[in-house]
Amino acid sequence: MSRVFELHRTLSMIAGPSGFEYETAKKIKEFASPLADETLIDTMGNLIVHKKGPGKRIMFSAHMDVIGFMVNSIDEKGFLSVSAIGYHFAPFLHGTPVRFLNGAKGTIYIRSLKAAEDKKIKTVTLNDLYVDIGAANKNEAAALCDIGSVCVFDLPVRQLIGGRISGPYMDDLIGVAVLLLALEQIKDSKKNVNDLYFVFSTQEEVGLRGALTAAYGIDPDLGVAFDVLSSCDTPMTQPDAISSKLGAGPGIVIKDTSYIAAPRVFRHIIGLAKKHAISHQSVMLDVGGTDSAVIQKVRSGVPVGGVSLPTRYCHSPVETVDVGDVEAAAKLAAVIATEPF
Amino acid sequence: MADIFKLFSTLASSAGPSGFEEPGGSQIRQLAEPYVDEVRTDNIGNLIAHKAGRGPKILIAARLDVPGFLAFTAEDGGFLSLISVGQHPAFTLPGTPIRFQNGIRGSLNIRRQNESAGRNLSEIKISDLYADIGAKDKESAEKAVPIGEPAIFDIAVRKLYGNRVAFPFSSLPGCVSLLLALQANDSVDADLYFVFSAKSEEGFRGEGGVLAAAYSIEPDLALAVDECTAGDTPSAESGNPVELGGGPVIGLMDASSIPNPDILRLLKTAAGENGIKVQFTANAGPGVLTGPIQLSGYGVRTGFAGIPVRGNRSASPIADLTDVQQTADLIRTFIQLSAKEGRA
Repeated sequence: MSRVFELHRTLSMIAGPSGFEYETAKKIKEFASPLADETLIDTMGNLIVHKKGPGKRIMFSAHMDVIGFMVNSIDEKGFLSVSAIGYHFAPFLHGTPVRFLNGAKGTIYIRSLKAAEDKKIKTVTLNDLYVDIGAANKNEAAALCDIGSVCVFDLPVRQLIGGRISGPYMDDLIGVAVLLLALEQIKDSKKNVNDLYFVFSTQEEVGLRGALTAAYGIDPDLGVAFDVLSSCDTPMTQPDAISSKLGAGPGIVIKDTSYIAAPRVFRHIIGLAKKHAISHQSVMLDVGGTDSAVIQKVRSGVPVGGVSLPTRYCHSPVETVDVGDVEAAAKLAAVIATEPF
Repeated sequence: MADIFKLFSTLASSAGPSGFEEPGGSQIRQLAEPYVDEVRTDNIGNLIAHKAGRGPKILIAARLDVPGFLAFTAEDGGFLSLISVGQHPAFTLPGTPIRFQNGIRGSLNIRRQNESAGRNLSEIKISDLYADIGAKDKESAEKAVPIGEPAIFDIAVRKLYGNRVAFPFSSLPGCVSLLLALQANDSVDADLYFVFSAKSEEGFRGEGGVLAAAYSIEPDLALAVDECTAGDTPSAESGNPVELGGGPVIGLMDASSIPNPDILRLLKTAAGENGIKVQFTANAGPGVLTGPIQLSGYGVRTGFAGIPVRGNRSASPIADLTDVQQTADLIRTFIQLSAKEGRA
């Protein structure tokens, strides 16, 4: 069992959706504290891990929130209607196991399979779904999962062949794992030239909220978000989509839909990857945004770049990544941290 | 209820789709063997646990197989196309974890998702889906998963609120009820056959494998035990009175049969004697087991006992363990009453 698999499994078992990252933050803090000079959980709930150095302030960011659901109403029979936290592909969720943060479990169903058949992928919404937790009536349900309760996918990460792993919340707990592995690698680094801030940010899935205030507080000289990007190497994607694939190394971001990497940051990261013989690919995303977008805009502006792991089936319960890519991303994060910018 | 939960987990982990029931059969063989005289697997793959005795020959049947998939072709890029075993609403399946019988894991995903966005969901077929097992190319995919390798949902049995449980295959409650009744090890004057029938999802001469079992056993009377769609959910169609937790369902009619009046009377009496609250439905489902048994040989007096299940066309339906236990109790009393009546 790989270290990456182990780390992701630990994190995904306590995953919380945007706004409910506290347990995840605690677990990450437990892991990171011995590797850093100080840790802090800020107003927005971001966990900021500081490893001091004399040089440039570098802010790494991986968001620790995941997509999920929030109960918005309970009917007389005890079925729960839910609102989305982050983006979901609603029709595919029929039969998907979920668990609430208090441990209650349930399954998501489509209200009417028959009615859904005449709809299209995008016209089925969370309004067409409900969650059954096995409660017999409204009171039973409300006692356990009242309005405002949140749930996440209740499926484990699994090992596939080819060194790949599949499960919910690669987005972005695998980014969290990357930063933790990098922290471990630079633990004994003698040449700690940079002033390093590893930010495990909150509420990314609902609009890149946590990283914004964290960046304001840190006022970095360089910002790099570690996230995932949809890979284009499967029958799922358009044949003409911008290419990126599993197993070819972490993606160094040229642009996504929310920001364009500062050319000198992009060149810096590519240069380091080449210098240290770390496999990598240059990527452009035509969907999604990352923390870099908001880091870029704080105070008088910050040069930013991004490292994104090619990931299949983003926002499904079977997000799939290549362990080799994850390890390479961790190595890349470690060299960005230790080399002068 | 912990024991029943464990039975669900044990059976779920060894389940196989139609035609590939062998692991599930072996598991049930182990669980049944201490309580019966003989356990055999017949030519069709039905697992038959026989508890010999003097008295009427009684067949109690549940479904052993589960819906699933077979690997069809390996494709460039290391993906697998699949054919389905049993009926799946294909559009609900992207993002579902699966496990091949040889242990290889993967997930179901949809081809050309963006292009599919414009299509009606009913147009999405199994051929629009593919499995990703992590293979890097066609050759390694083929090597890991040979063509024809069966796959099932790779989803755990989970405990929900109270006595409710979510599990991946809707045939499990029937098997568990049968096992509970069998393991109670009642002494009765009857020749008892517990049939865990194969190939219910894919037709064997148009019917499930239970047809062959009924033919060879030639029972005097029979009871089919299976899931029964609960009508108390937002997804239910109107006119289905079955409630989860409302007790075993006695079928008054299903798509393939109308129960024999003797059996219906015995079931009602059994419930009454035992103080089991039962429910009735005139729409007890497709009758995968009842019709074939009833029409086998010279005809067999047959009835249906159902366990209410929610979300039964999904990868994680829900049942109430109390219903499962009470169905087992109902089966036991039904057997007792049938034996008495047969002797008289």
